[in-house]
Amino acid sequence: MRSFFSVGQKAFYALLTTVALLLASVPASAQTTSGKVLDTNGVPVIGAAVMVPGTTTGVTTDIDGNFELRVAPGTVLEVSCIGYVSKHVTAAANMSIVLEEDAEMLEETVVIGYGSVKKTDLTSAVSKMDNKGIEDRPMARAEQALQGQLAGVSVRVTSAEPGADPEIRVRGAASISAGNNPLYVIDGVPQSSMTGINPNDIASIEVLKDAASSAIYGSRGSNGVVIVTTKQGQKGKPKVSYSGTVGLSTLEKRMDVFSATEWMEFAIKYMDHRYLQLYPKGNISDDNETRMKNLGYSAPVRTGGNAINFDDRWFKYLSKDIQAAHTYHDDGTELSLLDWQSYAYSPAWQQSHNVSISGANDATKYMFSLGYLDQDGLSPASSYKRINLRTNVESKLNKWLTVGLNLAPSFIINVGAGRGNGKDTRAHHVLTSPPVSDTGVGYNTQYYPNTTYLWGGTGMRPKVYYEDTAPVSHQLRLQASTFLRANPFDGFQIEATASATYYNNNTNTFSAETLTNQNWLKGEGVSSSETHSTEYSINTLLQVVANYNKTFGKHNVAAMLGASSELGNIGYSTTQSYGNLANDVIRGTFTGSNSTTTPTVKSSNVAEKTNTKLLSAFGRLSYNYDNRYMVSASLRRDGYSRFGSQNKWGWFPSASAGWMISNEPFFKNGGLGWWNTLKLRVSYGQTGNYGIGEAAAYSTLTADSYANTLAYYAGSFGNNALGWEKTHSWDVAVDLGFLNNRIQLSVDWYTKTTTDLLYQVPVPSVFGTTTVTDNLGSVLNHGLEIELNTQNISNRDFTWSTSFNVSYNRNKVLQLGDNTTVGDYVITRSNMQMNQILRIGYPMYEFFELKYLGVWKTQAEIDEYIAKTGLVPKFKGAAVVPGDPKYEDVDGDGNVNDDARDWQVCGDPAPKFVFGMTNRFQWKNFDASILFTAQTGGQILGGFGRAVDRPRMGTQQNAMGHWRNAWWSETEQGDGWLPYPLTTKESNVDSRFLYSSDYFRIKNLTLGYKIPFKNFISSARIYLSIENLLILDSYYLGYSPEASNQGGFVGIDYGAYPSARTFTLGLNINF
Amino acid sequence: MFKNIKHILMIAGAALLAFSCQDYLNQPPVGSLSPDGFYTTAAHLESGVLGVYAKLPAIENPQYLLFSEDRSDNFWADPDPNGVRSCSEVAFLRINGSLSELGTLWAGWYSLIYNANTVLANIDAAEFSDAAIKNQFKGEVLFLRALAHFELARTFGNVPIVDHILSPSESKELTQSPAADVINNRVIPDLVEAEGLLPFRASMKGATGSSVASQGRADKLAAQALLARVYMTLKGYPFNDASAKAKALTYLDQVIQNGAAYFAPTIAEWKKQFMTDQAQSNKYQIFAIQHADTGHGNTLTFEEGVGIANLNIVTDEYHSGNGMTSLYPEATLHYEFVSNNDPRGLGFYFLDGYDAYGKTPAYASRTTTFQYEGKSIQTIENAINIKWCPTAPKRNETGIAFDETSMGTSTGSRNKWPLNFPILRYEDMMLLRAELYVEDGNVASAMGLVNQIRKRAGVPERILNASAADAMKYVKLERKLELYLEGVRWFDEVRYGEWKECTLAMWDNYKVDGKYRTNVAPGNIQDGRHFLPIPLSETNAAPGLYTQNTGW
Repeated sequence: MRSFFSVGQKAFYALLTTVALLLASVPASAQTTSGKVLDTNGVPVIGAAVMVPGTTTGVTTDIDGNFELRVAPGTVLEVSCIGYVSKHVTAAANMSIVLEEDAEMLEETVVIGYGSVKKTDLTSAVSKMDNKGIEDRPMARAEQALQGQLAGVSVRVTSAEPGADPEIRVRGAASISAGNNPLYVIDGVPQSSMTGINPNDIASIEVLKDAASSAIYGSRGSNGVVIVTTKQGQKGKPKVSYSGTVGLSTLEKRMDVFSATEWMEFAIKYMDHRYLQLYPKGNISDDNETRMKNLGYSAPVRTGGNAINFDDRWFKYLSKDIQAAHTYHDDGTELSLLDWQSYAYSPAWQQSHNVSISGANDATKYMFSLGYLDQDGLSPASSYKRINLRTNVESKLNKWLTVGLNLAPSFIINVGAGRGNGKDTRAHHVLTSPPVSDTGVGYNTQYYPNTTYLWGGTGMRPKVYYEDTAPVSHQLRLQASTFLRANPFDGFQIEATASATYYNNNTNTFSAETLTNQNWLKGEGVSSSETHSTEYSINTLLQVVANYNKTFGKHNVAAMLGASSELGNIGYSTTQSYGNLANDVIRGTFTGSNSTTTPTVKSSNVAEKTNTKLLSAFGRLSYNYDNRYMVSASLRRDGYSRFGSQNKWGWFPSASAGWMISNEPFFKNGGLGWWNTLKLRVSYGQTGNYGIGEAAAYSTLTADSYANTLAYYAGSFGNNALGWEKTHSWDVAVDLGFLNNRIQLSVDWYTKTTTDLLYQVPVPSVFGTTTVTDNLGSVLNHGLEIELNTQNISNRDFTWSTSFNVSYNRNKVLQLGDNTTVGDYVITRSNMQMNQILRIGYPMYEFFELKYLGVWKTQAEIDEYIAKTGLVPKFKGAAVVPGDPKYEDVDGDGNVNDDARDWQVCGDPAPKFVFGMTNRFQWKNFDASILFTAQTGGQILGGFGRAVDRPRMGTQQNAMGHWRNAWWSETEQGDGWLPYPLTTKESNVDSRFLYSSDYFRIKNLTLGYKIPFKNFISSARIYLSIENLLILDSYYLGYSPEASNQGGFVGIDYGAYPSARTFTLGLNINF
Repeated sequence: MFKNIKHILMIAGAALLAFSCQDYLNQPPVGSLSPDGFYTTAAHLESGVLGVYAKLPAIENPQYLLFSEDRSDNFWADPDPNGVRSCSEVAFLRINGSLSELGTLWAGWYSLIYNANTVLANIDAAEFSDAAIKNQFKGEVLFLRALAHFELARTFGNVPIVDHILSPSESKELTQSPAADVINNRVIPDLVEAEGLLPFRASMKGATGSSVASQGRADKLAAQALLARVYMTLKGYPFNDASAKAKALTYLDQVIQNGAAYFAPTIAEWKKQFMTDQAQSNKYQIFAIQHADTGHGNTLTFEEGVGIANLNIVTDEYHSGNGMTSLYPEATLHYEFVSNNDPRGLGFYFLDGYDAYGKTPAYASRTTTFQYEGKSIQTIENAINIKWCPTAPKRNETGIAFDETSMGTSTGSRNKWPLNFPILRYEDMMLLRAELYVEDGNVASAMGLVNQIRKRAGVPERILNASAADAMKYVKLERKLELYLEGVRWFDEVRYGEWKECTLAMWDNYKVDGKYRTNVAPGNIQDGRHFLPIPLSETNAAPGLYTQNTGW
């Protein structure tokens, strides 16, 4: 806050000085004063007015920003230009005047659906981000740039895999099954994602947040609309730009798992305890042979929960005490001691290059660009390469007719997608692989000629295995749209657009299995397999939109009317897979003629896609009186093919109003010179969410066979009444501007009630199926958004600006199906016992588990419980013993059942507050920006704990480092949190895996330097950018508290791809 | 300007007109058939009938392995596996309503019933050139609907009866009927009607009139055998319906008379029914779930035993087993097989282990001491079940070859061998008849039937003048030996009213140093628990509609 005061004081003193100077001005002889007007980037400002206030004396600057004027020395001059803050200066010779861009952005326009408005006329909630926040950060996905930038728009990097989709939520999530991703509108064409867009081509991104703005997109508006506008040529000579980066990624965080010696120590201790459990008469000094004999085993048991036989070679790495307590027969051979994380996640390079040429003359505007990105992931055989081309051309045919073409092909090669993220992937195995392997084997376990380490699991594999089995996918996406625009008379414009998006994906996976797992015994190629899948789809749009905009005196009227027809999901997909291959060399050609063996066709499928058809008509009417009173209303009608025959069509109305109080005479005359803007906005609208499966409304039969004969039975149970999810949303907001609008504050409060949720409603199975899709239930989201932008310091050599935003969102289930009783819950998601529930009156997807309280440390503690409650504590019917986990016994019967009787709400996956803050500094030619992001108030379930953080896992897996402090006996109680590693009375998943997802991150730090060039190069800048510089969090079971990788589950992390810290050097040159 | 506005209105009007066609927006999925207009021809109805059968494979695993064999004293599950494993939860009665297999089983049977009701609702109006074929289809579907209600009633107890297609609101109001009513009012009438409509296997026909005798579909004998089993069930615990015995006798005698050809003459022939040749299995099995190809293979293969990924057993690793499912033949039963050199047991039903191959370590079998017939015996407690896995030695022995590479290498397919799973076998009927002989004091006839089976197996025959108590013990033991891993034993234990004693006896016998194994809680053996709990998925779908079973 201090900076704001100092800004205020400065401005106040500046004002006083000016006034004093004006009062004190004395006549003096006229002299020639001259100077140059520049913007903050040092670019000349053309056509700026340099005037003596109150007179007609003045000139405008020329093409180089120069002016010359004859006035008395010491005269105060006012320098002004549209789009800049006016400035008073004292006349002198050879002045250099820097004008700041007007922070109020009076004339700034904001793109809204099917049109644009001046920002000051806006009556709904639309956030805008220009390309400043995008250009310095080499990102595979432009969406990532939105993180921390806009209030109410939360971006989570749920997987750090190169090219993976980030999760975007606009004002919370409400839908249970219809999806919560916003609609993307790229240069006017609705799309389901931003994949393939080159971040460097983006001019601005607008997010329509409230229903009043998004209702114009009707049945797809409920999750907000992200409008992306790509760059257009600007008037002037051709502008050639190059930008390039080179970067290096490293592991942002290391997970705490056992080191090799810790693992061996733990394994021996575990085996000793297990042996004594199975054979109480034994002694830990019994050697392997004796242990087997005593237990009647015919062969050693080295793995699994029953493991009792250690590797005799371990002891030489362990302490004297452990050696002395055991009998072993070390043959002296060395083991390989491993660190899988360091091995697997080696630093990865990335580079990007972009070239663009743009410009415009009277008839034609053009922009051509070429982009290349090559990003290697931290995990081996995971990479993302993208080539983008873009042509945006528009040409005036005559005075009233314009045609245009946007063509944007992109080509992506993605290697290893999905292989390093999630359960049973490399991300999982890197952490669970035991850190020990056989003599001389190192990391090459299970790879020719090495077999599995006898004490290890099958997850231990070298990098080369992942390289041999990585899927390679080639994606081609072509976005093409063309338009014809007519402006037959003043204020009226009609535009017809036709567009097509073509998408093609080929994924080839050759799993060269010959060299793994003893498959070499069978011969080259025999165990290898090849899978090839192809897919293409076409989406088309035909659209006519008419806009009319006219000002009559103080009245401004804007009207829009349009209609569109979208035909989507046209295409086919195929999958083929082969086995029994001739060799591992030929990997993509299986014609039968190029090998001596005939590959076995394991599957060969062709599927036609079911078209989607969306017909729409829409219109909007806006009225503005004297820039003081604004009202706007819109209406859309959509018909969609995936809905039931009784419910194909829906209406989506909206209305909004604004009052610019600061334009009222009473406000202007109120003497509050420091208060420039006060605007109230209120809006209401209805939007929809149409995201359902193709068969939800239609009944189908499933083909099968029985006794080799064709059989049919009921497949989907259609529901012909199925319709849209409807969201009713209110937004009340105030926009404030102070001190020449150097301080701008917007506060939005909203409610968003979603009804008729598309929901898989459980029905009693006697109906014939277990669930049907129906429109039931409702959810309320409400929240507060604050955006604060300040120009803290602004002078010629040094500027400092801050953008801060905070979003608060809460959601609450209002109704669930027929069931309206408060307190009842439905387990909507349960996977491997990671349960999430919906309860009326509470947030969505609360975690519902046994509440873990620590360990029963001693028998005395158990006895005390018995004495106090009269109940013998049990877990699933079996009495607990010291070392067993202690759970909260919800139903109070002494017996903890791992089911709804004792489960309770243990957390909420949605953070309450999300923060973002950007500070930008500029000093002479140096600049810096720093982006902080943070969230608080939510939990994350480290589902991965199931694989690496549970008792009774045996020695086949590595374990989280905190098992160093496990309970082993009443005399070795550990930290009281982790139970006896041999206990079986622990649930698969419980609240022990829940962690706070609060974090604070220095998401990005960029330092730049503008190289002063003359002539040939108009500007050049080099910069260093560090992504994920620092994170403060308390999440133990994964790499990032933002991770979420369990399909539709929210806030569950099961071995997510590790996040990277990336150092990038960049260069931008404009010719 | 007015003119321009007129133009706009015309364009907008034209655009709106284009939408008025509702049919344009009707776009059913292009990859599936619609049920509208299906079920009208004989051929379609046959596909519909087979669609009802096709629901059986998904039910097989929970019904006959997890909730039958696994709960019985035929199996010892590891009470203390490395993770929460359904087999262990079920075997030690730690079941709770959220166990997903409960819902699978319940929903699976009702899905079968729905499809059966769909066929029944349409068949009368359909055109058939031969009324006998229509009757046969109807009979098959009635048989399957009866099987569904019967299994539901003896597994869950009180369950809803669904005899027609329900509307969504009806389904939310339909309550449970007492188990005895389900059997008496739905199962028996359906089976009696089916028995009347169905021909014997040789005359079973498809829609075109060609023979389908090889397809293993339910025939008149299957209906009679199921009726016999149903009445034997009614006769026993918990129904204790004394009047059922006479009916049971009638149907058992009919089956034994009509089905003599189903008794395999030699043990070599007998073994062939558990291999991949459908003709051989249908020759000796009255009714079996057909697993004609690996895409529709036997779902028990994977689950029944620990991993036997070893080239010595199958010529390739086409049975990796589920290392997480630790289910073993109960030790005394293992001993009974091994000590008598019973050819059904070691090498056919189970293996004691395997040797090291390459660097694959040898299987660690464990020899433990147990009490059996009053003496201490030493036997393997963790033998590997392979009844549903046609290992290479089994294939060599029976001469039934099978190319396992046709199964593919994905985990999902390579563990599903095309072995039929029998529901009704002739030996089952013989031994049920033997039970009734013993009850009626005719030990010699009873032992005659038992010895027919033992003689074929080449194991010592029982004396014909045993005491009634011994005779009954022999009958019961023979049922365990002959019908091992077929999902029969558990319902026998219940029928005899002995499930609690049998379960506890096994748990006691596995004690170490006088203490129960870890996680074995005898307190879980409670009255009423012979029925499974009503699944949580069902009680959640219709809160308050169903009454939970006692004991859960």
